[in-house]
Amino acid sequence: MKYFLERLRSVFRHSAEDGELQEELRAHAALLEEEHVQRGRSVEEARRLARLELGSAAALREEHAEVRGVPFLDTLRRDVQYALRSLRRDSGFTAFALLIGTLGIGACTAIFGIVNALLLRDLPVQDPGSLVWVAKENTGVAGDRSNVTVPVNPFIEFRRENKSFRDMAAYFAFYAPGDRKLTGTGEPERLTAIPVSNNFFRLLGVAPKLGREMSERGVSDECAGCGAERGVLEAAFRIRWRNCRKGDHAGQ
Amino acid sequence: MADRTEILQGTLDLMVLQTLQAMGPLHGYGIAKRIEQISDEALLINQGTIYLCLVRLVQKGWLKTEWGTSENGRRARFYSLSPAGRKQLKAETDNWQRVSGVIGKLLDLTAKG
Repeated sequence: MKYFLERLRSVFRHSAEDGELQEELRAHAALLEEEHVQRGRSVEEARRLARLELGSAAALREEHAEVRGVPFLDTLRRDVQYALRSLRRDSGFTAFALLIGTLGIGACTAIFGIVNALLLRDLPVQDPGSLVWVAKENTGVAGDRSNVTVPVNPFIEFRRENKSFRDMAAYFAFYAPGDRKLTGTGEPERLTAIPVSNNFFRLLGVAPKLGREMSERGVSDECAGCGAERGVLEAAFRIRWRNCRKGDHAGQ
Repeated sequence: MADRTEILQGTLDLMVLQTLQAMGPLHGYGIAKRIEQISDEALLINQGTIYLCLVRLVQKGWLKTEWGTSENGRRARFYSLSPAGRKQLKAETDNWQRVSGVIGKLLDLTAKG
């Protein structure tokens, strides 16, 4: 095992170890040459004989690399180095290919994020398995419930007479009517809000992180007759909120 | 049963270990020279192949290496036995002696028989 690890290490030190081998071979050749010179040969003859006795340096270096490394990884390393060199040579192509790849990855990530949030992930509520959406059957487009609404008073009636469900809550189906303008310090901003029934968060088992929920006060559609509105602020807004003001409701 | 190249390899390994124990630290030239002298040159195809054997023994942990200066002043790598190498040499030697003892006895019997 240790033997294998040593060979593995050698793969990463390929150039250095090859250089060391060459130095060893040079020293060896010099000693052989000297041996022949001492025996009376000329320098050129000695050099030729030494090279013969030592063998082909190129072949030896290759074989040595095979013995000391892990040949599969060696070839892999060489291929990767070659690929990187080629890419560096044609940098325009490389830049373009990287760009395409990045776009692809980005698009997939974005799509996955949406699919995950909408389809794959459990609803971030308590006991999502027991949550049901009640709506009047739409005689229009089959299966499309998104534009079916229930008037407020029937809803209150349903809730009071309800015997099948643990509780019932409602939310306002459209964005615009809930919007409020945020004034005070800094620029005025438009806040998007969705009016919900007072038991909305309690039903879902989701508690606000800061402050408290709305108390029992009856359903608010546009919160007619309840004076200043209380709202539960969305988390992302809360952070900016902390930075610039105190209080727990949006002023207007 | 080990095939021919493994047997040759094993013999060469043993000779290298034995050489270094007998003569102390040596560089590749010194080791190759002595092995050529002792064996009838069947073990080394050329002197360069000693380095294939040496790197294997180093990676197995039986040899240590150190850079030093050769007789003619060049930088050269010197090999010596590690403690594990000494143990390996002893084990191999004992094994050889046991095997040759057994074969000796066998040949004795065959001769008499």
